Amino acid sequence: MKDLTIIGGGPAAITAAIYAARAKMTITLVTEELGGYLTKTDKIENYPGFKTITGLELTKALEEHLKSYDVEIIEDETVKTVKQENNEVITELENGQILKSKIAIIATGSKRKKLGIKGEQEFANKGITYCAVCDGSLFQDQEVAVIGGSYAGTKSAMYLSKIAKKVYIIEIQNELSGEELLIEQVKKTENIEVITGAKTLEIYGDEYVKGLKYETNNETKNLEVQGISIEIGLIPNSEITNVEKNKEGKIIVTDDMKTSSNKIFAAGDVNNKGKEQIIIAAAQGCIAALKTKEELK
Amino acid sequence: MTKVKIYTTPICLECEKAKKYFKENNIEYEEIDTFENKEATEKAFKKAGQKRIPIIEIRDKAFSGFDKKKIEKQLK
Repeated sequence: MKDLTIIGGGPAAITAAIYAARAKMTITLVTEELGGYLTKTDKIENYPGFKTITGLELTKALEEHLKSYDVEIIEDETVKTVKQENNEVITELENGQILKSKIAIIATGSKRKKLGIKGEQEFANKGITYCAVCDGSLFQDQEVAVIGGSYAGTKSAMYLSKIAKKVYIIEIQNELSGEELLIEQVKKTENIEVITGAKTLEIYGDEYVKGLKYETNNETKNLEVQGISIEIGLIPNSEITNVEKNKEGKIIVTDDMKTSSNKIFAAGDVNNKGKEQIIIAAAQGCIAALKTKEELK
Repeated sequence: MTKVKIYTTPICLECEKAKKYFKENNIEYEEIDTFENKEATEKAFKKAGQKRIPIIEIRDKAFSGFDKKKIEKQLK
């Protein structure tokens, strides 16, 4: 039996693995993909040490660092459940494999929230994208909408503004939110138009997306666009465990990243501590690993 | 030799995974940058029926995303 199972492949999981490996713990890291959500990020400009780096470049650097240590890595596998039984943690994979360890860190991150409106499912990958940096090239010289005007939405809009003819940001609140620097850039970009106080009601089209309907001041309006990027926030990937969660599904942890099960820890976007930022995830991975080492003594 | 084309963007993990898979399995492929080949890309996504990168074209079929099973089936 290994000392530690780490579930996840993003900055929190990889940092935890590096610290745990340096503490001479035996580790299995299991993930669907190394990098996680990071791989769908364009330019990262707020991670110290890098003025600008793409998510894919940072993923490669993290992967290389991780693989320089003695860590068993199981890639391309999905975890079904993680639970504590007496004094050990049982991690069951979708392929039926069982991993037993003395302790576990869940660092499964988060995924994009869906709108849940008419047309969203029908036009997924037919003009709707949840990864503007991956699919943006298909919207060259077209008119597109970004639904959501917070950090992720403004970032996507800035990226798409360099590719598309026109970018609309549809924000339900009365103003944009997120980083002031990004908001300033959005306001200065000529081909971005911000529509605030607008609730998206429906996405329509024929074979591909042709537009969306939104409501503003009790009036329904149509906006003709060929592409739609949905950026309304994140939901935690926490379904694999029954430890205590808050109403948003985030795993409740102590300052040491400990969950309601004393052998299970949670770090990064999946827990209820802090904002969804790479540096916070990495720091929490470190805290969790150091604490697990203490627990094993 | 079966002709394999992959339509990519610079920031695309699935594109990287697909190219790694082709290399590991000695499958020759042609990479097409979707930013620089707009018309060819448009034809490919219409053939695939999806606006999602990567688009992989093998013989007369095209599909979106990296799916090992689809690739293996199409290469048979």
